[in-house]
Amino acid sequence: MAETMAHANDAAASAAASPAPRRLSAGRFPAFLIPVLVFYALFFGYPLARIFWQSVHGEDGFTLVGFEMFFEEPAYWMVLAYTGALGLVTLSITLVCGYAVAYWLVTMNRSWAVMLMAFVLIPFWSSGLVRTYAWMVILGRQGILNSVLLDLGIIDTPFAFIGTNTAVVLALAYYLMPYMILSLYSVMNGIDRNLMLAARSLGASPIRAFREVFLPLTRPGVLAGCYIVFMLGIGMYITPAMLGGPQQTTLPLMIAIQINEAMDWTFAAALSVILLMVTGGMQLMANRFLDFERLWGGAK
Amino acid sequence: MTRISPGRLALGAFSCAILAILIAPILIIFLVSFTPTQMLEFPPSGFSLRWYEAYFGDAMWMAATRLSFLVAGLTAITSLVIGFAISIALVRYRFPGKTALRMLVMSPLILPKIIIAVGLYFLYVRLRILGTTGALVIAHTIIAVPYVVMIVTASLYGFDRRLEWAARSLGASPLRAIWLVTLPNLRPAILGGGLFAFVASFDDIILSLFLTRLTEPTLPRQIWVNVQQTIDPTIAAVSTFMTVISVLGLWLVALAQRRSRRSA
Repeated sequence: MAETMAHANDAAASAAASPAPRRLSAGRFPAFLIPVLVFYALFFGYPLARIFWQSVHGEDGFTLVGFEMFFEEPAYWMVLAYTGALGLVTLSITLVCGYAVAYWLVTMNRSWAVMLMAFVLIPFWSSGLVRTYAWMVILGRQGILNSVLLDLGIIDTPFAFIGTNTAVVLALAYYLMPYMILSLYSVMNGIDRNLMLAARSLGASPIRAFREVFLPLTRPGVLAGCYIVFMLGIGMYITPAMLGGPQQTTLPLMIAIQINEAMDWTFAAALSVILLMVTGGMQLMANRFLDFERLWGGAK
Repeated sequence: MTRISPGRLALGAFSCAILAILIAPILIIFLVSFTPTQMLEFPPSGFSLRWYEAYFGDAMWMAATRLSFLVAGLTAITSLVIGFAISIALVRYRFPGKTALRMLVMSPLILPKIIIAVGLYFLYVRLRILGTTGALVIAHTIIAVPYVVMIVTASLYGFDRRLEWAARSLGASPLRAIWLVTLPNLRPAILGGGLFAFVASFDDIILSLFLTRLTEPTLPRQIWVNVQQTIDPTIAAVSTFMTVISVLGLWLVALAQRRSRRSA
């Protein structure tokens, strides 16, 4: 419909004005994109390609030493496994908590929900660094949690929360929770709740109506939320860096150490390639389940 | 009045707890930044602006703040120009590789930022532009363009093109029609995209860590350096300042979006 209208108007416009607005017709590559593509090739394509190139090049040319180092040392596999596990644990926590919150918000009075949404949006809009720093203030040796626990007499000496898995998981789940809630909320908001009423009126219990009608309809939101949380979770640098100890080393952390401290570009690049492979693999899986046109707000 | 089931009550209590946890750390930093004492204490024993004075009176912190504002402002401009061109191409043209283009442009949202940082680090070292303002703006543009594209494409789909054709049929050149008709109509989206890009740059830490000099850090990098050394309440004051800027910026985006949706 829009297309035919476009053509009709095209014809009208080219009859009225010269030069003919040929660019409105479909199928031609927009020339103004060429500088944009050059920009992306130089500052996005080339850096990514350079990582691959660097991962197999040392000082004396071609080498596989970066990947050999990784695969010969089980401690490095553990880093990879820890990164994945951290992503999965964070994902589970945000999914369970986020689903409850999103469901609660979507089933309440709308004006209340809009107001309560501020509790999700303000952290969502704040810098990740500030929010991670806040957890340092709370969980630090002289932090708020320790002083409260000391005052209450629950502990005698300050507990070292920082450097534990709990601290990293907590702060990471905290950071990613708004992404999950917002993904779920936007999908839940579009579900016609009369469907639930219909199920109820046909004799389904509230739980059954939820499980068999509502839950399947939220699938796109669940998948989108899981995808975003997992992808951001495994790539997160500052949370494990600020709240973890040596035991909480993740792949992004190791990459930074190789660049800043060990100055081993080949190994850093090899680790980056491994991280890229993991995210690329997840992306391929996600391509089968997710409608990216919708996720990126492309199609209406 | 409807009866509230126990299940509903439990769900409400649980959700309230989660929402409280979501806001608590930000509130705590806000309150702690007004502490009169040397140490971070909560609740603060009094009210003082000394840490804000320490922040605004410190040359190093101010230099970092200025750099962050400069980089974010420039990033907003470059990503608007690039993002607008991409959005026009995505919405109004059909060409082979369009889906690939969208994936390419959007991928920095999902790609681990450290990968982008490492790749650009390699490139910038070779080009000898590591640590320059322009180099950081380019890096931030890569991560900010997706937000501009998301907001501007959504708005372009809702734009009535007949307005533009009317201008064309009255003799305006394509660029002039865009300048005089399309752009003013897309003002909320452009404002929103620009603010989003600004905040994306302003809040970035990872690219800054790799691509700035230690002597000329951005605000987040200066926070990062200080966090490693001290638990100084100045950081709480700076953090509060940063939060106010980002939340204000993105709240304006939401407002602009809502207004444009209502008028559409």
